[in-house]
Amino acid sequence: MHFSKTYSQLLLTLPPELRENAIQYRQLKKLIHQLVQELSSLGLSPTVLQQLLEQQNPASLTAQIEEIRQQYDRVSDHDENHQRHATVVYEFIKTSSQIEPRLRLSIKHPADATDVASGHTTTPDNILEALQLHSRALESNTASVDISYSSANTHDLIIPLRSDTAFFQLLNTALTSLAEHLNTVHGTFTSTLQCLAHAISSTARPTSSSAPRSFSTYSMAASNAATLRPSSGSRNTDLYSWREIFQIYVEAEIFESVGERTRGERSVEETETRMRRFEGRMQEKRSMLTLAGSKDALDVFMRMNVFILDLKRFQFANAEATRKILKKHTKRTALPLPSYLLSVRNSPLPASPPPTELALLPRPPASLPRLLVQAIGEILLPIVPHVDDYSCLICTSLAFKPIRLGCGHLFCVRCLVKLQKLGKANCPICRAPTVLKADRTNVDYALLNFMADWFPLESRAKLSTNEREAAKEELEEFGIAGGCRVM
Amino acid sequence: MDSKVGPPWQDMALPKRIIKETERLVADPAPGITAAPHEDNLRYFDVTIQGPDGSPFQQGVFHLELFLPEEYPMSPPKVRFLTKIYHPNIDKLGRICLDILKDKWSPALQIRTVLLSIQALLSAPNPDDPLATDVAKHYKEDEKDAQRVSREWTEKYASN
Repeated sequence: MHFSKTYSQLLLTLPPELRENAIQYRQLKKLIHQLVQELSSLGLSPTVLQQLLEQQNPASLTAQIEEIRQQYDRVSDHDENHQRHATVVYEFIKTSSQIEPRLRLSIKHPADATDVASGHTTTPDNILEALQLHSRALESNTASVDISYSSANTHDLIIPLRSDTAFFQLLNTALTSLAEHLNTVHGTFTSTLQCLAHAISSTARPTSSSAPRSFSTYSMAASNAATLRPSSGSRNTDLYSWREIFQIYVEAEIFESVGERTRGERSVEETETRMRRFEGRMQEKRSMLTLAGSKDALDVFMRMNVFILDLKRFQFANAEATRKILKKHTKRTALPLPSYLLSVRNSPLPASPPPTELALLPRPPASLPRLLVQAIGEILLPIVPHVDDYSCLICTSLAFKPIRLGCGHLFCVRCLVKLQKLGKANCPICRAPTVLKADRTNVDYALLNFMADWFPLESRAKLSTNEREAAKEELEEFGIAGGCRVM
Repeated sequence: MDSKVGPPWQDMALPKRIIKETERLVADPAPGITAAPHEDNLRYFDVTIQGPDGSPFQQGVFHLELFLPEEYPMSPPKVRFLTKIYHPNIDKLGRICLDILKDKWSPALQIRTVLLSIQALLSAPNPDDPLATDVAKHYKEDEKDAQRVSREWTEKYASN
């Protein structure tokens, strides 16, 4: 299937506000067609141009120029001795309002300049006449041909390309408005995200907002697990449901892979598959949410992710359309586009950005879907503290009760006691000799309260594990090996 | 006789940390390293390490065994090369001379970090702290020739 067809079909599946900002592939294609006609009427059909631009040998270049000349000037007073060297340059003039592509034909007469100076029939003049005729025929007021004498025996012939100007005008406008639109999208997305963050935080409140505080610095006896009993089945918060939802979301790695071997942005297809799987899982989890606000928030959250996926498809299609249309431009006209124009759109990061004066087309911003995914990670996910961020590096469970060593590193009381019993003096993380110095005063009470508040279930579980382990150890220290055996 | 012994899985119960480490090793392995636990003993791992590029062990795949003692992570894992290797810090029996496997062990280290350290040891042999004294001597006296032997051994024993 033709790309233009695939492209327009894909655009139809996207939200209208994105569709309206897409590259107008068909129109651009028409302009390329016009440009080819324009060039052909100048005698610069793609084949001729191709040869002109590719030939490295000055002699054959001259021959080519001769051919062109002869197309317009049948009255050839062609001097066999004239060794003419000609070059064709396809160049861009960037004015404030638009890009004007043009062709510069430089024709050199190394032998004798008098012929030129005398105004005798020469190649450029004849081409000039032909071009002027051509421009009148086009009824164009913009197409004019300038001849300048850059040196005594070189003619510079400048041919503005009208359809090409229109082509770049259209492409440039499309890309500019696209960039603007994407900026707006970014802004809107971020503010929606902040609203959502607000909504979720009010449905995922810590237990302290419904239960009295369990801890104070005075109630630190090791066996006060009873006072820790959280209102686990609290009807006032969806804290644990949200934690699970976010956990599933992070693990789904929908848009980006964080694996060690496959790090990076995922392809559109892979993202679609993962999104479907995630949607399926959320269908189940939706019923876990008890508060009305939570369900609405989850729906908004899902819609935002679907939007990112749409945006990803849209950006991919647009980049593809831009790349293809520029490629088509080159292929049809044989005019060589600066290589960076063709390459930047393939890779997210160009190897070397072109100098500013050469940056003809506005570049798409750094992958917007990526930025949006990042925003979710920065604004939304931290609302619900994650247990991994508060776990002990040694036992990998919640670092409860938390002991802050003199060097600032955090471990659970149980692992710290084990280290001390083994006589290990150095901090496992930084090797500072802080372990044996730690005592009761190293309990981080602020963190302890925070943990009891946000991780009531984990705190309780860890506390009872600690107690069980300590009891077992005590028995072993008394010389009773293993569990209790009744023979 | 009414023999009430605690259910076997209670003693066998794997600490959460080991379960987590294993899951990650299997799901997201480090480049050039694999580690899979034995079905009947989840503390015993079959390990392979690819010889690092630019070392005489390049292209080789080395098999190792790794065992997590009861005290892990308070004590280091026990690791041994099963594939013969010509390296100044690895002896005939496959024992490895690496400080973090001995006195420099820290419970903040993991199976993953240990295996990465061993992989790094292949790139940077340390003949001044030898375990295989003859190999170390060879490495010190004629490094080029010693590397040639390392390559030969890699070809002979470590290519699948």
